Amino acid sequence: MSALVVAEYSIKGIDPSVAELVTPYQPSIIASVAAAALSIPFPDVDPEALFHLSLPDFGLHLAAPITDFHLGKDPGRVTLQTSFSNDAIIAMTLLGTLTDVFHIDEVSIDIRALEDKPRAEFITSTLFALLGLSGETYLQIPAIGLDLRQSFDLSLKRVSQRLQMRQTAFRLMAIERATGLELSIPESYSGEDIETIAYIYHAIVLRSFVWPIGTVTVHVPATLDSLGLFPKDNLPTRQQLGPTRVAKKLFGHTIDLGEEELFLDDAVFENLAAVRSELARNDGHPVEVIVRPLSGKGIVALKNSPRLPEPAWHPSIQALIDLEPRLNACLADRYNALAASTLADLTEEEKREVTARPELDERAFLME
Amino acid sequence: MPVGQVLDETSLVLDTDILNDWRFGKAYTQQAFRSYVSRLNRLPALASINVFEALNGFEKKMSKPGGDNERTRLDLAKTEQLIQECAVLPLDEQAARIAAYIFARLSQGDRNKHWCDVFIAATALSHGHGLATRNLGHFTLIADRLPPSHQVLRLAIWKS
Repeated sequence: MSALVVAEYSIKGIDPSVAELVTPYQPSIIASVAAAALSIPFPDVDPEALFHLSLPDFGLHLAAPITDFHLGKDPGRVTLQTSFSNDAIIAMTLLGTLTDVFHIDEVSIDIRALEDKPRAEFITSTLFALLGLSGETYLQIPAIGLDLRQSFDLSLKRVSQRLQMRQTAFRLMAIERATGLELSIPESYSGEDIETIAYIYHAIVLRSFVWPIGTVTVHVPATLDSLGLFPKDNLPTRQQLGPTRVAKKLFGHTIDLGEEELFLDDAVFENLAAVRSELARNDGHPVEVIVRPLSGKGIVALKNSPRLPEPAWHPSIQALIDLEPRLNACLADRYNALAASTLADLTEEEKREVTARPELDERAFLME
Repeated sequence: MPVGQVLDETSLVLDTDILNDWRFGKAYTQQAFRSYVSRLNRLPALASINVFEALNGFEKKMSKPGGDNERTRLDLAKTEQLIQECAVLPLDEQAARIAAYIFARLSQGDRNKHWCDVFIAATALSHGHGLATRNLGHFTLIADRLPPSHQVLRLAIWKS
């Protein structure tokens, strides 16, 4: 392997969608309710009253204090709010008809982060995904006799978006924990920000990882020694670049990741003949060299990037982190079932007919 | 080496053959989707051409005498729902430029056979995605003709 001795290099990626931009705004979750009612007048809800949320599919039971409860100006509307560890609130609206009792027709739920911090976003997105993917959800407030069982039939796309936001929030939590920084999530952030978050997260958790590389630009002095490092033909060679100090900018902070080395297994040099000719001038002037891994990837190694402490998380947060495989499996299974339903009512012959790829005759696309 | 490996975090677009196998409920696709979602928390994207192909199949059937029946309409509606639930990447100007470059360098026979694949690959490249396919040969043919602006087509080979 050759080692290009350079103080600095710059990488241009080729996969702008390492992670995609996601939409932060999410409207209410709504479910219809069959045959449920509350006795009136409503009793006073004391500060000790709890809101219980049970999700049997995930073996999860959450209880949180009710922070607000009132009958709206519209007599067919009851609203209540509950707070989860000062990170997230669930605002629930019961829509129904007031007669001798309050008949509940529909439940609407808003889940909002109480602050723009990664932990709040992580908890909020986790709750949203849980409600969206649970077959059955039990909402109970014993103090007023509320006991609802329903399923929130959420769009899989919305759940998927929240799972992506959850992943980004978790990575930001890890960056905060390892660096001691406090990060605020801006209202909108770019795909480039998400790529930076992914890079820093990998640097902290893995330290050595495969990363998409388009080209790497380096400057080497025009000397005969430098010339000796370059191949005469442009067959792929193994190249090692660095070490060089890496600092990434994220949401107004600069995060020092220590020294990075880059290993390319199949590097070729662009305009090799011209580069060799420049180097052969032997006058020390800097020559720009562009290196490209044919496979579009390289191994990044960081020896002294920040680390997560042990244990990294409070048990209550760890329990939510541990839900990830089940949330993802549940989402994939829902999608698999939807995809399979698109041909479910057709005969085998009809299935073949509607999935046949369009064919063109031999005169199509005839180009002179 | 114009064909590159997908990395753990590479977003993918589906080749229509994979989309169809998924709709047939083939176990290998369902497993591949589980694995993909476990890494990226989302599904692979569709290209606009996937949508064209999926709907064209129904429209072609329904345009024939006796082809427009309730069962077909029901599954067309479910196909529409699936499309709504997936991210669909447009065939944008950059994709059109990439497709034009590749298309002009294919033989007439390959153009007729792989024209949809060309547009799918161009869409994937334009949006910085890789491509999930079971046909390495089809897409190697395309990857051997990539423009200088997009030199690597990342392929994930999903097979039973």
